[in-house]
Amino acid sequence: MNAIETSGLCRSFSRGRVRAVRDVSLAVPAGAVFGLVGKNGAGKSTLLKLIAGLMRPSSGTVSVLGQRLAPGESHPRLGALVEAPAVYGRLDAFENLMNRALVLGLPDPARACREALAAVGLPERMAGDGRRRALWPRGTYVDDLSSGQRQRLGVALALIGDPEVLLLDEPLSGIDPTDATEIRALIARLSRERGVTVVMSSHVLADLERICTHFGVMRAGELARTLTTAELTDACATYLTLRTDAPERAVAVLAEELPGLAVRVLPDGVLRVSAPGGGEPDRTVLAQALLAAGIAVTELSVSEPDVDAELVRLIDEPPAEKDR
Amino acid sequence: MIAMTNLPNQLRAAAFLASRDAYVKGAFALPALWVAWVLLTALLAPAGTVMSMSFESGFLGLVSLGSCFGTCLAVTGLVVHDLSSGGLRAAMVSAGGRQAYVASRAILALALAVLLSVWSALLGLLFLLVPHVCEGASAAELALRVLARTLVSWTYAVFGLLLLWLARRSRGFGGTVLVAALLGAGLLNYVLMLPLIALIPLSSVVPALQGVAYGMFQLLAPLIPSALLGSVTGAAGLDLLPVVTCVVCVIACLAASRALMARASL
Repeated sequence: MNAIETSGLCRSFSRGRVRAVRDVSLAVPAGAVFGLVGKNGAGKSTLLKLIAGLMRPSSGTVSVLGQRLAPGESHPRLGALVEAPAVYGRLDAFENLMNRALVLGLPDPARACREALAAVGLPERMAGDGRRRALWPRGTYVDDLSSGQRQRLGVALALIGDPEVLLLDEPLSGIDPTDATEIRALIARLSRERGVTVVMSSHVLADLERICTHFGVMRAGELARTLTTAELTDACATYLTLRTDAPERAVAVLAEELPGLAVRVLPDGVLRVSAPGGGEPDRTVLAQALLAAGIAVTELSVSEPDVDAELVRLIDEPPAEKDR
Repeated sequence: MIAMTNLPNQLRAAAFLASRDAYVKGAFALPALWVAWVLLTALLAPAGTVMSMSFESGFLGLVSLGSCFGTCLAVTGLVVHDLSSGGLRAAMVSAGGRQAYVASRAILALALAVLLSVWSALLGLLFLLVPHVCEGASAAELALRVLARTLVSWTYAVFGLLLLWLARRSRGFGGTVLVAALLGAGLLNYVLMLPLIALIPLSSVVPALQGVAYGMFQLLAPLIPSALLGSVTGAAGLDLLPVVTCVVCVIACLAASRALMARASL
């Protein structure tokens, strides 16, 4: 079953002149940690807003946990941190959580707040404790927190009420490495132990690489590619990089002489050759085949597997590349 | 259906926010400060000074300040805080959140109008302590006048909600107080009288339009919310027409707010 499904989702701004999200049909399996990657302005945040119901789509539909949502409607079992945390600056962190808990109608809001704070590691002396103060705050106003602490509060706000679907836009932005590790572990644990479906965007690809089970690559508002972690790992298996004086001919020769190899021509004319199963192709056999056909090999090197590099390549790939 | 189930939750959250909002606290503090000032001035006046004060004018002035300006200040402050730092999202990312949010703020505005009117009226009774105070109107008439101000305050505040959501801009302290002052002074009345206001400059140029302007004034004057304040002439009751005007204004503003927020990008 898919926890999130979108169909033909579009969103335009400036009377259709800017198409932020174009015809996105996405299916996120229940329990998956789905990493959304793309350049700035690729449409990641807009897509998350559309799924969260923070924005109405120009066209298309969104279904969350099997329920098709009306435009601009949120699902009750969804928590979201999109762009900046939605917080009242002149309340403390506990009060912000309490407000959210009351909106959700949680049976024991104070307990839910304490649990959410503990989950993201925001100490009570910074968060406040929810006890009424006549005139002066006991904790610290959210306006006075550091950006990392605010971000942690944003994650806590998304977590409160035990959502089944979490949308996190750059959740680790501004958080120090120790806390980022803890929050990454928390997200992985929520998915593994409680079956929470997470859609998470980040520019720090290493963050995603460690916990995501699926990836979606966005380019210019389109969902250019979706792939599982296994597919991503396969795609970035060890490969040879070749530079020749006739790349197109070299592809044809290799296809004929060594039909098991996967050969791709990169935009700069470099050939990327990988063997089935991700192993390293036999470079001697390969070079001999090309030389026998009269093609000069000017450069030949072995590249190690690099998931980050593969994601960057997918992000940077020009639109026509996906059709090859 | 979803919106209805979420409304009590939104109301609890709205009350929680109101209990912690500095503008709401300020709205309750203002009438108390005003009474304290008047009493201090009267009671500490030099011996031999004869002060004359109409209880009715002092009382109603205080209720107007506390109810009209106070309600607008409290509601403007709350919405300004909702608008800043993405607070709207906290309220709206929930099932039926958008409609329930609008309804909760309108109901909160009514609750604040009632509480501030009652609070101001109770404080106003302290004017009886002023030496040589002149009592005029009966208690029943004063109660009706307080009721009229409560209804007008709510109407002004709901109109304010619509304007603030339309603008969707957070404001600083000065801007918030200015908006509240404009709303509390009856900005809605001027908006409803716009056709007349537009006609007045023309009527000075074209004398024939003066009659039209007068006729329009006769027509519009009873149809603005502030007409309710002047309609209480005894203990007999309130005129129905201005009451209906206020209710129609509230319904229209709420319908417009609902439509606006249903489409808002957060």
